[in-house]
Amino acid sequence: MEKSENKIRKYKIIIADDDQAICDSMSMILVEMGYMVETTGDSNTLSEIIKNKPDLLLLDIWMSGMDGRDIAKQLKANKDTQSIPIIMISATRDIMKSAKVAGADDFITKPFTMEELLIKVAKYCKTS
Amino acid sequence: MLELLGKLSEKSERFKIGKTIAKEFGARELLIFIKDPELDILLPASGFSQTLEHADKWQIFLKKCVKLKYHSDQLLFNTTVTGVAYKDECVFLLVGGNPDKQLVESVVPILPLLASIMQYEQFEIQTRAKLLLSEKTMIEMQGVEKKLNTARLELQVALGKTEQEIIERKRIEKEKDEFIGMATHELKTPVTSIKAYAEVLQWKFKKAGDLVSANNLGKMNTQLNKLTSLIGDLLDSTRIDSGKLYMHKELFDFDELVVEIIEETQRITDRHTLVLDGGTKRKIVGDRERIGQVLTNLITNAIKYSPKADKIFITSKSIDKNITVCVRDFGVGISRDKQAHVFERFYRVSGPKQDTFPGLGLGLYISSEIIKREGGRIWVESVAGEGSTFCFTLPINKGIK
Repeated sequence: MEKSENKIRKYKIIIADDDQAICDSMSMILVEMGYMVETTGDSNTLSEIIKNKPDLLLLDIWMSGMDGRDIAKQLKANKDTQSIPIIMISATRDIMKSAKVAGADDFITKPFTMEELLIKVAKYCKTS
Repeated sequence: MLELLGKLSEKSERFKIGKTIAKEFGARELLIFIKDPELDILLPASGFSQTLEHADKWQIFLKKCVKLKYHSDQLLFNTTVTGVAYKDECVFLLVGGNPDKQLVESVVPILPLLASIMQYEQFEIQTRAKLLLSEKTMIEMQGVEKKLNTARLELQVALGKTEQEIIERKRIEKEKDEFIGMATHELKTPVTSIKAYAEVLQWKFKKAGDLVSANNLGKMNTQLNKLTSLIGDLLDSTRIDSGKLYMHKELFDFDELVVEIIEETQRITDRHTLVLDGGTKRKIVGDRERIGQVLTNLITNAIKYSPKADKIFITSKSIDKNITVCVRDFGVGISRDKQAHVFERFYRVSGPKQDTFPGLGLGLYISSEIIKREGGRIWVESVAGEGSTFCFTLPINKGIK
């Protein structure tokens, strides 16, 4: 485990969710697994963090005052940010299609297990 | 005499003049009959008495007059009736007395004139009657049209109302959908974070060697999974109710799904061994997650309702264009009369023995709705006290092997 932790430590993940407990608990899991994590529930702050070019963005679909799909669209339309993989998080998988249309690379449904989350994340933060 | 006869052209004077003329002829009464072109019989001209007793006898007499031009006979109660006719158009008829034949026949030359005047009158009367009738019809028609217009208006109003109602219902449905979406989000978000905390803590404790704490957190996690499943069932049932249970389509390996679900559900029971038999070796098109949900439901039910058994058999096979999966348990079973109801919403097999089985009574209802939407069939075979076998079939899409 220690070995793989060292290997994946370089990956930087941003969690964008307006629910503090979600940000906190998810980052707890990811930090425990050796990822670098930043969290925000504010779309303005998000654009600031994006400038630091994360390796992955975990984006909630319903953030207060902002639709995650709009953020995804904007990021995918921008040359500087379009390569950042986006995993959308939602409570209902009925949004899956529109999330894909908005440019999301993947999708995860609440509530997810730790295992599910880690598998999804590892897909975009390959250790090899 | 001619002057008197001329006065007959005046309808209003006709009855009085008739009496005078009859007297001149030595008779009691004068009657003039003219042909009704529509009925084709001779009827009393207007201005004369319109009702005559023994109408049939009069008609026979009049026909004789027409035939013989002049005719005189005892018609009623020793009353002599004398008549002259102009073709079959007009009969000049004297009642009573014994009028002179020559005198009566002297009237014949003026009969065509009288006939034409009286026929014209009749025509006028009939036309007026027809006009009156048509006017009445018109009024009736107008009434009907008015009613029709009212009905049309009412219909339009009703349609407008229905349209409004539809718009309103759509609005409510949209609100309901939005509410469901919001509720899903609101209910699932805290569960997600609790679950994440529990899992990461379990992992941490395990790593630190505190297996008791890790085990307790594992139990907490199991309960959270139950809560998640209950929230899911409630939302699915609401979705079915509003026709919003959307099915996704994807091609997937069916056997892989079965193995995956068996592995997952095996984790929730220590008592039972889940035994898989057979396989379909097929890929099917359908909603993998939803079909998995059905299988999970059937296996968790089998575990729940067979607390004293130690085995559950899962068989899968493909026959022709269908795949069939059965889950067999050796539990409490379902009596025949209750079997038909198990797929109904909120239905729960209850009884003195089954009192202790918790649940919302939605699982099999949702499962049957999912299978229905996938074009398959779900059923149960069971003997009370011996166990149940729940099966479902799904179609294998054409051209996919």
